Amino acid sequence: MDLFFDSDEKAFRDEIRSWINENKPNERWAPMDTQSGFEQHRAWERKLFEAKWSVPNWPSKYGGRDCSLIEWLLYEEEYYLSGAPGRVNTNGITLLGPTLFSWGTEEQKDRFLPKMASGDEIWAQGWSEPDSGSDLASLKTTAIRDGDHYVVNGQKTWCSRGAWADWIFCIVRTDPTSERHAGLSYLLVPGDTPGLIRRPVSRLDGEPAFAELFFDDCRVDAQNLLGDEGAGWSVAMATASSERGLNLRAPGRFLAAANRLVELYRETIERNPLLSVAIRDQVIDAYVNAQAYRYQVFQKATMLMEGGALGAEASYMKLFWSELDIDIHASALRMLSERGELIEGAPDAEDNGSWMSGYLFALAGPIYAGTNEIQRNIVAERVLGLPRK
Amino acid sequence: MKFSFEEEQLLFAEAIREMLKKFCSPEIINHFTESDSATIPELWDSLSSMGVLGMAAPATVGGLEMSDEDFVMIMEELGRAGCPEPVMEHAVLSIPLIEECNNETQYTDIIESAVSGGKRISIGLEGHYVVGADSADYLLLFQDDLLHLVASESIELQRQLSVDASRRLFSVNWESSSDTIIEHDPNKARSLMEKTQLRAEVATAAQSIGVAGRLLDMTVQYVQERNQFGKPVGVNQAIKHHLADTGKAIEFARPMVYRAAWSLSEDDNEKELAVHMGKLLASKAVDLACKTSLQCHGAIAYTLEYDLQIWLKKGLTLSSSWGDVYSQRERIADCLGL
Repeated sequence: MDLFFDSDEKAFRDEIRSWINENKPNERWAPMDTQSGFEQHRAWERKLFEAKWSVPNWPSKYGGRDCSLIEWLLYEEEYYLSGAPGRVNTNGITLLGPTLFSWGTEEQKDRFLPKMASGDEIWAQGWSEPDSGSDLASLKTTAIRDGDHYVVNGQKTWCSRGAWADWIFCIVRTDPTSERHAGLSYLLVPGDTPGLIRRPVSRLDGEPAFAELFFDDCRVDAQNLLGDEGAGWSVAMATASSERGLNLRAPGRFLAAANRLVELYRETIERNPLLSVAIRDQVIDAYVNAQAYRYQVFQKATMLMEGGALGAEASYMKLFWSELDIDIHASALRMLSERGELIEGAPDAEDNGSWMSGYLFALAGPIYAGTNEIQRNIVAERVLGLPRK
Repeated sequence: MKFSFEEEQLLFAEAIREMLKKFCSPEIINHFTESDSATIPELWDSLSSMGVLGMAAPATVGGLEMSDEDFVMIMEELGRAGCPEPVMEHAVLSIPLIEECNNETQYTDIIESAVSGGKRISIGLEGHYVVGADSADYLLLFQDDLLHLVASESIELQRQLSVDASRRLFSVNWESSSDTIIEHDPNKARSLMEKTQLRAEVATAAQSIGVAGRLLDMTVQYVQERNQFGKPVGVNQAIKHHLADTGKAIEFARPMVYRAAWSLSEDDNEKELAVHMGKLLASKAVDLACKTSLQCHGAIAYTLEYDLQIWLKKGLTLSSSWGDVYSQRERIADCLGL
């Protein structure tokens, strides 16, 4: 065991630290889920890509640096500590990207990964349907083979960034007579496909970050099928493992938030020495849990680098980070007291209302990527070994 | 950065686990508490022959020269087995402490016999109870910023009955003299006391994780065997979610306890913070494991006839021993300057 970073790791960390601090924008941008903010954030993806900082853990042929998993975790820490803009293509690079590495053909990887890394193609996820949320395998959207194409009909919903994304990765039913997990396929759909109608839906925070997608005889090239026809569920599980494990939510974002929380406490106690000790204890617990997530992930990263695999225990991680994110932001709001409810634009809002917007964002954590109730079932059945029925 | 144990460390922990299955079974623990003995001789001998008693001692006195990182998994196994012998007090705290005092060869004999298990040593902070004092030949006692090594025949012991019947607690009444002082330098004695506190927190946290893991394993097994309404109670989501939360608490405390042990071994400059964070999370994990394992078992676990009680009571006492969640938060606040 050696928990010190070696000289290569330190050099890597110093390099991203200085690059990000020299290159991050100083002005505040429009949120990425507005049309103007979306394009600003896309330009930032291009800038990261040109410096090879968009996907450092990917192979260099796709625009990465082949860095180790530990280095990538340090990259994430530095990225979030710097306060650089959010990543508009997160669903592409952290969810579809790893799935393409596992399931894509060489042609598909060459076709999709570089443009994903550069932000030229921003991705949204098209999985949930109005009647299929936690019970994803009940989904009804069909894709029927017709020559070199699939003809897609149906409806997808809660597609983050779905209103502006260039591409959507969908799970569809290619065998209309099939039920449940059989007969599903993983299809990559261009956002400008004729017959596809996209309706933005305002999220709880007011941003049009969701979309409903309506497919009406949309013809999609059969080359865009990821994995074999009928293997969609297996391919989807690779994506789900990335969502729950360390790809989507590396510790960096929570460590940065926990550090800001500690700073906020220091400022608040200065102004208000009578602040309840119960709030200090919440700050400490949030700080400790962010550290616990960090070391948990270092341990898992070591295991992966030594050839191990992350199985159902990824669900422990999803439970932990989603609850941690809420705790961090809820503690800050309690500290801010009556100013907690102030949002961007209010003259007295702390840091432009970022604690409340962060809180609203965190509230979605226990719902997306498989609800936390589903995650607890997965842990109980597949990690602890309790019977399904 | 490499957060994994070496093969050698894992194999040693595995060997200890197997030995404890034989010499520290629930039947043996129950017999020990019912007979009100001071020790389990066969268990103590096995711990001695496998090197556990001298694991932290230097090779020159027959020890294994293991660091906190090396033996953190051993402490976890002792918790998992519910070991009632005061191994932490003897092997992890006392022997290294005597070794670190400025006394050259004066105490070599005592250390050598402690490493072999022939003599037993326990330890008490000023104003605290001493675990296993009735089986000890010597006690290490802090008083007025000095450290004393006192032969047990000159100490008056008073038994303090613990809710955990396998935990033999005593208050001690003794007279210090120039002969009993083992560390004369108050600064050194204070720093040794602080180091002892950190070591004890890590070792207690590791045992707590072992206890929590055992409680969870027993409960996972029980809820599959126990049928109600024609099916195992473990199919119910209410049960599943209790146990998933318990598993999560253990899963996230364990690396922090390992990291704390590593920090102590390296004398890392974040060691205090690392140790208190590990102890805080381990206490929380074992508290939750006690609560959910009792609840998921139901009435059967609320008896002395069912073995879960061994670990319930271990969990109850270890959680607050050497600093409960509230005092750990205070210590963390100090480290962070809050």
